[in-house]
Amino acid sequence: MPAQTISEKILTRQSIDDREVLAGDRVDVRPNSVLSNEMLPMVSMAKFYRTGAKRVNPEIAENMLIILDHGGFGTTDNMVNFHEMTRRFVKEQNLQLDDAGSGISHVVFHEKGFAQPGYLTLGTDSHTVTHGAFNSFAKGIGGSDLVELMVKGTTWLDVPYTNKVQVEGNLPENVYSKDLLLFVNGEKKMTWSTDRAIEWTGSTINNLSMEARLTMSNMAVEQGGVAGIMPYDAKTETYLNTVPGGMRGIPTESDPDAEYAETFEVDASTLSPMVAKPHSPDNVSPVSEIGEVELDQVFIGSCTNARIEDLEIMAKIFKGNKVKSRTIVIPGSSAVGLEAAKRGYVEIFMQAGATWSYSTCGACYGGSLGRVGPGMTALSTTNRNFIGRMGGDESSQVYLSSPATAAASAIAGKIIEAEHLPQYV
Amino acid sequence: MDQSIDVANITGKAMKFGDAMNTDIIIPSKYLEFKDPNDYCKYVMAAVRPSTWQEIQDQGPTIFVGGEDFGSGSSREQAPDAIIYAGVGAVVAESFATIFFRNCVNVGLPLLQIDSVTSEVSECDELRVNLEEGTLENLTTGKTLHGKPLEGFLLDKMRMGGLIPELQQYVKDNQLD
Repeated sequence: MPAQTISEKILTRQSIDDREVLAGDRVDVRPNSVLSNEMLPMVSMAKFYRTGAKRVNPEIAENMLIILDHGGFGTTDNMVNFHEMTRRFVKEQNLQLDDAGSGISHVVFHEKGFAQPGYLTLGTDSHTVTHGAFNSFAKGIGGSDLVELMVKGTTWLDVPYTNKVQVEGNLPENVYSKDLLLFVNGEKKMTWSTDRAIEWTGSTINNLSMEARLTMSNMAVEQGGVAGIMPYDAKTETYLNTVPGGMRGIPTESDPDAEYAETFEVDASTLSPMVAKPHSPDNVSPVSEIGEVELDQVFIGSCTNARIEDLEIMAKIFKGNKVKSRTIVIPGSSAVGLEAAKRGYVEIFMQAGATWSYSTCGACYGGSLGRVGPGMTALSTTNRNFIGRMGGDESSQVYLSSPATAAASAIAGKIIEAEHLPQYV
Repeated sequence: MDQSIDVANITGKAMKFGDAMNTDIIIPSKYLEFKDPNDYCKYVMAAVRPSTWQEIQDQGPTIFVGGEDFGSGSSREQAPDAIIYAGVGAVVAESFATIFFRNCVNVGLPLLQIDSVTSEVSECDELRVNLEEGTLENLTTGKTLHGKPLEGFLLDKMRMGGLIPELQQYVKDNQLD
């Protein structure tokens, strides 16, 4: 048997005819878990009925989690209708739903144990790649692809070639996995991994927490990647011991002689805090080189950086300080929000003058709670700063950073490195 | 639109765009709530060219010509739908993002990858796309450009008008209705 990458092994395992596959092959597969969101009522439900099908394939129904996250509690009349259509469909088809407010899909999905090592996970959102942090092949699909899964239980995939990012060395103080990811974005650009999977490896990756790995896998798609896969280790196992059903997957490694399309080596010890400048996640610069950027707004949230570790980092910086820029903090899920409340972070955020919200995607994709307007400048812990994405237009300037840089900048009223915040000890 | 497509003969006037036309540019999220593509298609590409939809209505059949990484970003298949419903017959670009490429096949938006197409086509050139041959004929300059032909597997889906017609057949054949 030829040497295989993680992607090739997972897609071999999930091929419906037990076929050994390699990069470049096309294969019919059965996913282990499926994620959906408002794409279901906005696109997939009508198309599902149009096929003439009556029932969602039972295996898909059993392994699919629907999380209403993009539309807040129902921020418009249309969104209220979409949410209600979803509830009716879920009841009719006996599906699993986390209703609006329970959290962001790419946080709730792994909290509920749907992300597992060795899994093939498909989801109607490009940031489904997030779950690769659990050593899975997790990929975003379109609303019609979901219809195919709901009708047939299977779909086709092209087995991707793989780019490897080898990261060695210790991250300096105040430098986080988001900075590492943004650095790679800046060097390799958004087309680097088009049609390819990414495997992250090396001592730096092994030292990262699950939260930090999730941040990086989340933005694999900002390097064009169809998947962003992390190694399985004791940290993955410890996390999975806390989820319903525990560890259910198959830890998967690439063979030592597996072939990679390209390998990129990074020395983490040389990195500094980074930002992505308007209007692309690959328009990257060290914070130290961007000059004076005053902020109208700081947005802290999203499937990239709103897990408990992110809030812990920010609480340390916010404690005893007041924000100068309008600041919105949205926890990644209601479970994260509850934990933040228990630990006293919510009190710290609110005493600092930040606004604390229920869990939703919020302004990340321009939905609600902190959209920017024309001419406004914002710093955000999210994953994309395309023109108009957070609202506004070409004149709206959105920068992306780590939670530490975002929190320090909120207090300073301009973009700064956390270590330059005078009050920060 | 679930309609069969003549993939060998798609004609229209060129409308040119640059690199990295991501899905937030193709159709911003706030318009997706309209649900009906006939409504949200009016905002197609408006972020970079506000009059896009009106220009297409005025000039008739149109072919989008784009640079690298056309369709990056969100998995929203309303992006190719917005392009189709605005009256665009095909997208020819230097490269496509992975999910967008597949969404185009699924909703029946013909697409063709041709290196350096943006330097060989001018705004309003009359174009003819042949997906079977992987060619773009520039009827204005008389030059034919060769790109990457769509494979048979994807071409068959495109001819049927996308994935839903194929699934309608599957549902009938397997008596799932």
